[in-house]
Amino acid sequence: MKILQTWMLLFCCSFFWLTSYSQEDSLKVIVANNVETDSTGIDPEAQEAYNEGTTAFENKDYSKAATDFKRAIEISPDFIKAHSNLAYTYLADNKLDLATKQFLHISSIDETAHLPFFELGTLAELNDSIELAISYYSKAIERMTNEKTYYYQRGIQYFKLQQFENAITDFSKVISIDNKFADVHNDRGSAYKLSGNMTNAIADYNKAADLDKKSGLAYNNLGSLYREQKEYDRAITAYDKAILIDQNNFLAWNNRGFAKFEKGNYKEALTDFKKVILLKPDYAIAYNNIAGVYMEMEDYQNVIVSSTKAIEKDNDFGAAYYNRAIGNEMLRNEVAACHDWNKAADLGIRIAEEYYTTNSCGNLIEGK
Amino acid sequence: MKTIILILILSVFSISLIAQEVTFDKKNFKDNKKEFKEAESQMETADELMLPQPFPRYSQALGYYLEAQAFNPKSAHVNYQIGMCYLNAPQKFKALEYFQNAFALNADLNADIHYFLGRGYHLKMEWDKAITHYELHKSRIDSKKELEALMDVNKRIFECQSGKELVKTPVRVWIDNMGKEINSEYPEYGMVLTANASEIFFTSRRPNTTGGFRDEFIDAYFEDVYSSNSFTKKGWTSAVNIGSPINTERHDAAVAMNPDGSKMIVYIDDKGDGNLYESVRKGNLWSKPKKFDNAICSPYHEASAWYSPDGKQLYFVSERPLEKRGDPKDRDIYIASWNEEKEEWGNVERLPETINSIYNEDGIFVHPDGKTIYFSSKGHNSMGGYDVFKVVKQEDGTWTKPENLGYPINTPDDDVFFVVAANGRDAYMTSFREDGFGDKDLYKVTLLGAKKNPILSGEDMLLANATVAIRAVQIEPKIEVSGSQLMILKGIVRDDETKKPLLASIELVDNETNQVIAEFTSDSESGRYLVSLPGGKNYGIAVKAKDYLFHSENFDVKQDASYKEVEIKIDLKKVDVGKSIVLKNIFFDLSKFSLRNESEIELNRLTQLLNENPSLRIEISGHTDSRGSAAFNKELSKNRAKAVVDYLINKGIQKDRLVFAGYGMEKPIKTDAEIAKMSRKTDKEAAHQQNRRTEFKVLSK
Repeated sequence: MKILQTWMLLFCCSFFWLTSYSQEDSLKVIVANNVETDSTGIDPEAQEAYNEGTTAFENKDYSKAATDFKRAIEISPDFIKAHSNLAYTYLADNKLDLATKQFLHISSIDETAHLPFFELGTLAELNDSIELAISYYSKAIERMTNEKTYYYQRGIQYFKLQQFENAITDFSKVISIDNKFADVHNDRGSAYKLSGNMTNAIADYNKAADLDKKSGLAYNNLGSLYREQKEYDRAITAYDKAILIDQNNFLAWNNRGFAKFEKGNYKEALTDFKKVILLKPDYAIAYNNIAGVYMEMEDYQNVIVSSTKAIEKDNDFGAAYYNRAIGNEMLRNEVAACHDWNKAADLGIRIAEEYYTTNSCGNLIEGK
Repeated sequence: MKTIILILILSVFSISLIAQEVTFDKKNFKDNKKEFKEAESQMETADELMLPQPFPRYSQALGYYLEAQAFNPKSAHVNYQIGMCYLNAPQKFKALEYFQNAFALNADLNADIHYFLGRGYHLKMEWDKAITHYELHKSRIDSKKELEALMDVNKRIFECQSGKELVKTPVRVWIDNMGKEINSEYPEYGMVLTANASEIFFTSRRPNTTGGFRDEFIDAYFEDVYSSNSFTKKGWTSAVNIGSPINTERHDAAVAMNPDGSKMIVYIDDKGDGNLYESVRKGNLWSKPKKFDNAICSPYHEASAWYSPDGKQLYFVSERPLEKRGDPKDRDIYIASWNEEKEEWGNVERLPETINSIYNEDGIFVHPDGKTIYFSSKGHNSMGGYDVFKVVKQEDGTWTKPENLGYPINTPDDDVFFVVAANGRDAYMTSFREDGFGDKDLYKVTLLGAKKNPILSGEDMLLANATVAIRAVQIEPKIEVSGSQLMILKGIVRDDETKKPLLASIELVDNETNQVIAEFTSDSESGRYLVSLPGGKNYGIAVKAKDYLFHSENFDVKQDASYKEVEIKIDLKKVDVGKSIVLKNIFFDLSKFSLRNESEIELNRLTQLLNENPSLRIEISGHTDSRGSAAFNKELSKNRAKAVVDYLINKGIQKDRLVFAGYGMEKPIKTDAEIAKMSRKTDKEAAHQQNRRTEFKVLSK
C-alpha cells in the first residue's frame, strides 16, 4: 500500500510537469486525448479496444483495462498509446514488474520515446536503486535534452548519493530552463550547503524564499545553515520568517528552539520545544531537546522525565538514552546511567561508550 | 590612600568599641567573685598551656579559654587566644569569629591582629576582606627589619588572589564521607589503597591504638594503621586495626601501597628523624617493617612516598638539604630507582624545580598509570596551606606544569593525602567537615571531569519534494577524557580442577620491544592478583606456576584508551594429557603465516615448557575466524601451526614430539550466531579476534 501511495505521488509529480492537472484529471485526460490524437491510421477495432480499456481504467477495473489495451496492441502492434496505457495500467494496479517491462518495451519500439525512461527512473527510485534511476533519467535526457523534470529528478538522485557537484550541475540546468522554479533553488542551495559552499547556498535559499512566498521551507533551511555556522541571531530571524509563513511548521519551531538553545537562551528554547509538542505530540526529537534544555538548567529530574518521553516515542533514539544517562548520573543513579549509556552506545552514540567505560560501568552493573 | 581611609574607618570603629572591653580584673566582677576566680584560673591555666614552644597545647588550652569566655565574653585577650587555638585546630574556620571579637573589643590588643583577621577571612574564603587585612598588616611591617614577615604576608595575599581565581571555576566533584564503617569521632587520615581501591589502609588515632597510649603534645591517641575492603561490593567492611607487626605502641602511619596491595610503606618517627619502612604481605600477614636503604632514609625527615606501578621506582619526599640552596627544612620530592643487580634503591634524583617549589611539597601519590603524580605543595598557585597538584610525565620525559586540582578539592586550609584510584574517577582525601563524624575524616571524591553536554537535534527538509526530513543532529560533544588511560587486570589464579588459589608468577612483556617489563606474583593465600597496564603498549602476560601449563593473555592498551577493569579468573591447568591452552602472544601478519618478532617470548616460553617436560608430546593447532573462504582459512591455519612447529624444531625440540593441524573456522570459541547477537562492532571484532588463535594441546606425557 505504501509503495502504491509513493508511486501515485511520483506519478502525480511526473505529470505535474507535463500538465497542470490534478492526479485524477491527468490520468483521464491523457488516456482520452491519446485516443483522439492517435485515431487516424489506427485500426478501428484496435481503437475500440483501446477506448474500452480507457473506460475500464476510469472505472478502476485495471484487469479489464489491461486486457483491452493488450487486445488493441494485438490488432495494431504499433499502437504506441495502447502500449503506454498498458504500462500505466500496470502501474495503477501496482504490478510494478510488469510496468517496468512494458516501459522498457515501449522505449525499444519507439526510439524517440523519452517518457518511458523517466517512468523507469521513478520505478527504480521506488526500489531504492538510485544509480539505476540515474541511468534511466540520463537516457530520458539523451532523448529529450531540454526537459527540466528529467534534470531535476536526476539531480535529486545525485544529491541522495551525496554527489553534490553533479546535483548542482543538474539543478543549474533546470534553473537555466526555468529560473522561476523555487524548489530547485532550495535543493541547489542544500547541495551547495552540503558541499561547503555556504555563500551560494545562502543565495539560493534566499532566491527560493523570494520565488515562493507561501513556503517557509527555504527559510527553515537557511536558518539551519546559519545555526550550523553559529550565527544564531540570523538563524533565529530566518526561522521566525518560516514560522510567520506557517504557524504550524513544527520543524521551524524545533529548529528555532535548537538555535536559541545553542545561543544559551534556554528559557525561550524551552518555550519553542513545548510549542512543537503542541503541534506534533509524537515528535520524539522535541522531547529530547527539552531534556537537553533541562540539563543546562540543572533540573535533572525533568531531564529524565523528558528523555524518557522521547524514548517512549522512539525506542531507538540513542541521543535520548545518552541524555537520560547524564540526568541519572547527576542524580546519582549511577547504575541507571550506566544502563542508558550502554543502550546509547548500542544505538551508535560513540561518546556514550566512552562514558560507559570511564564511569566504570562494567563494575557498577556487575556490582548490582 | 585607600589603605589610609580604611585604617581611619577601622580606627574610629574600634575606638567606639574599646569602652566595651571587660578585662579579667576583679574590679569588674565585684558581684560574682567566686565565678570570676574560677574563670580567671581557667584563663591562667590556658595561658600556661600556650607557653611551650614550638608546640603550644592548643587543643587543651581551647577548652579552658572557652570556659573563661563563657563567663566573660568581653575579654579581648581570651577571644584572641581562642582564635589562635582554633587556627591551630581542625576547625580553623571558627577562628575568625573570635579574632573579630578581640579586634572589636580592643583594636590595639596585638600588633598582628590584622594578620590573623586576614587568616580568618582567608580560611572563610572571603578573599577581598582577607587581602584588605593582610594589606593593613603589611603596611605596619618594617620591610628592612622584618623581611620574613613581609614575605609571609605577600605569600598570603598571593594565595588569596589564587583562591579568588580558582573558586570562579569549581571542579565538578562529589565529596562523600566514607561512612561510619571507616570514620569515627577520632581523626582518620592518610589513606592508601590498592590500584582499584578495593582495599584501603589509613591512619587513625583511636582508643584501641596498640598500647592505648596518648600523645600528650596534641592530646590524642598514638597513630595506628587500620584497614577495610570492598571485595564483596556491598560497601566497606568495618575498619580494623591491622595489629602487629606494623602497629606498635608508638606512632605507626600508613604512607603508601603498591598497586596489588602486597607492599606497604609505613612511617616511623625514629626519635624525630622520621623514616620510611616497608612491609610485605604474604596471605594476610604483614612482615615486620624494614627500613629503606640510606639512599632514601637520610638523617633528615622523610614521611611520604609512593611506588611506581612496576615497583621499580620510588617517589619520596625528603627534607634533606640541597647543596646549592638554602633552607634545609624545605620538603621536596625525589625519585629513586631499584637496582636489580645490587638489589637496593639508588640513583636518587630530585624532581625539577618546576615541581619542587621554594615552599614545601608533601603527600606524593603516583597514579597506577605510571605517568601522573599528585602531590601537595604550599607553593605554586596554592590558595592557602598545602594544595593538591597534578603533573604528568610526558613522552620526552619532561613534566607538565603543576595543575592545581581546584576548589572544592583544595581549600585555604591544608589539603594533603589525596589519592586516586586507577579509574581516574574515584579519589580519596582527608578533610575536616562539619557533617563528619568528628575531627578529620576520610572522604571519597568522585571526579566528574568536564561537564557532559547534552545532545539535541533539529530536522530539515533539505530537498523540497522529499517525503522524509533529514535529521541534523548536534555534533557529538567533544570527549574530555577525565578518566585514566590504563587498564587494570585483576582476578585470582587457581588450580583448574581443585579451584584452590595458587601462588603464581605474572610476567608482563612489552610485545613491541620483546622485553619483560615487570614481574608480579599472585597472593599465595587468596590467589588474588592485580596488574596495572598503562596505556600505550601491547602487553603480553604470562601466568606461570610450577607443574602447570602457563596461561597467556594479550592486551593492546592504546595510548588514549579509556580506563577499563578486566577481571579474569585464571585456572592453571596441570601438565596432563588432553589439556590445552591458547597462545595469545603468537602473532602473524594479516593473511600470512610468517611469525612476527613479537611472538618470540611466547614461543621461547613454550620451548622452555617442552624442555622442562622432555617426554611431552603436543599438538599445535591454528584457528581462524569465519570471514573469508573456508578452504583458504583452513590452509592458512595449517601453515600457521606449522610455522610454530618449525620454530620449536629450530630451537631443538624433536620433530616427533610435535604435531600440527589447521582447523580453519571449524572450532570457534564464539560461534557466528553468538557474534550476530552482539550489537556493537567492537564486541563483534573482539569475538572474531578470540576465534583467530593458536593453541597447543598435550597429546602424551
